[in-house]
Amino acid sequence: MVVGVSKRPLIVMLIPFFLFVALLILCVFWTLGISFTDKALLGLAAIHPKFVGFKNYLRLITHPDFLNSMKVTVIFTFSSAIVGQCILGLLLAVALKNKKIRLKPIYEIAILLGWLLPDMVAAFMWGAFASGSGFLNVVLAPLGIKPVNWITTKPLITVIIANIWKGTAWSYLLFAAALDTIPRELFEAADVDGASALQRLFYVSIPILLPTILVNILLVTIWTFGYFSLIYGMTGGGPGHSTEVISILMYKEAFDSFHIGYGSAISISMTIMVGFMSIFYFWGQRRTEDVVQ
Amino acid sequence: MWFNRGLNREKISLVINYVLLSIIAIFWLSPFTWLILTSIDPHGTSAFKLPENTTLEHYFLVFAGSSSARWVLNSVLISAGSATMVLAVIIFAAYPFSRMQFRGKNVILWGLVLIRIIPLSAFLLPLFLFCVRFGLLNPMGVIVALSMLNIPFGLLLIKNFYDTIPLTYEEAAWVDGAGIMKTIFKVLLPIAAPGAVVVWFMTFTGAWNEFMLPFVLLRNPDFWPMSVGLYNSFGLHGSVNFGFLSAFSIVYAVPSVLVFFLLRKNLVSGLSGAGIKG
Repeated sequence: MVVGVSKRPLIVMLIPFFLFVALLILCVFWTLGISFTDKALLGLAAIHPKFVGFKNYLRLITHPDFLNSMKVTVIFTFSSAIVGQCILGLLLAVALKNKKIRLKPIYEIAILLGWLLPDMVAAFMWGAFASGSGFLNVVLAPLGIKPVNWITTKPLITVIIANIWKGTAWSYLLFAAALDTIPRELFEAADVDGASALQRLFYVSIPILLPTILVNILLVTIWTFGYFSLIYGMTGGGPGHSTEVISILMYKEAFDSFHIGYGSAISISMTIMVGFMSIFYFWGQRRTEDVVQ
Repeated sequence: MWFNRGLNREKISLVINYVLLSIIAIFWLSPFTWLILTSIDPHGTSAFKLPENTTLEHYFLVFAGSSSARWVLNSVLISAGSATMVLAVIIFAAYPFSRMQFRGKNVILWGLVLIRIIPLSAFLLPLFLFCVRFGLLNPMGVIVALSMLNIPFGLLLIKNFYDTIPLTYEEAAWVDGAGIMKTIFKVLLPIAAPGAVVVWFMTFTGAWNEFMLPFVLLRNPDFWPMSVGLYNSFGLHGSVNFGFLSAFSIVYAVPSVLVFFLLRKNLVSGLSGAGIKG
């Protein structure tokens, strides 16, 4: 700040910013208020919502649909984000780090394209790709797997694989950038000691990258936890409730069944769960910064 | 032979690497081959087959069809509108955050990081209720909502850029009689331009790809952006025109892919620098 300059214009410059952010936060508190009412989108409860206390939240923790959506969300998030994207992303980053691998740009672009596509394009593409007559069955035919419509027969596994296909590039980019920061001498020293590729991975790369890996796992978990578009576009949460993750349940309650109050309660519980995970994320961020400095 | 066992092991691991990488690349690229082949096939279906003859008619229809051309236009307006609004707010707001010390600054900055990582679906209902209350169930509402969600990231990024600019530059401008506006536009912005470009394009592609928010806020097909138009074209109707939708998807995906490869260098550093320093 230049000495002697009036601060007033600076405060004026902040006003639009605070307006936007305050509005967003206000909206969240408003939703919190509505989650204690029976507000609906239509009918009498739309105009005169009644205060119902914790009824929506009690319904939430006892309702089989909500418990089912939690189960589906946990399975979806754990398998596609942690097992799929993080591990595959790390392996790809390590494999493509190998200077002897040629055609690196082709492998890279193959992974990146899926990530860059808009969610709806991926959903449309996978809808056809995994259908009975789709290309997936052509690819799987040599393995002796009979053609089926994967979206109706194995819905959850299919959306998990689609999400791994879609999201791995992010982890790959992050880990590849982090691998570049490891000094070459460490690998050379490991080579001199006769370490194999796997040993280099487990005794050099992973220990050094551990903070980055943990922070990325949290970040990807948080994002995947609230993911909506790809699953909704592919299955709409069905068949039945088999792929109904929590964001889809929230959407259905609020906009298909018009239970705004109940939907708000789901939305608030989601925010709380994500906020809880974010605490660990911040803690991890701080820790990695300490390590780096 | 025992003395080149090490060499062989290296070779074997390289071969395994290649095989696995190729399987992955083939698996990753195979959905695209269907999409591209279907878009130029006059009789495309969900099945994979090589087209007997090719046509570009589907691509022509994307821009000539009355509703699809409208969706393209809506997408451009919504994305460019949000990106411009975000940039207009943050090039000013980032300045006090970079140069002024005030109470609660760090709390606000960490709060912004929190808003940035919380998934949109947690904000969906609040934003919907806000737009209902203020009569914003239209593209303007989508622009306002997307701006709210993207301002935190943009501010953090531009602030980091401003932080690297030495104070002496501003002092020199101040001595020469420049006011704050002039200092921002003539001194700071030219230096922070790469950051501003990244923020604009990031917000643009984020808004361009966004499905959930316009899906909830916009019920009138004339207002739909491409994401909602695409969903409703393959989700609702019995007969799906796969050829047309494939061409539509490719047209829709091109800007997102292009922006990434144009800005790749800046993007990765900008994305991983999501945290705040000092």
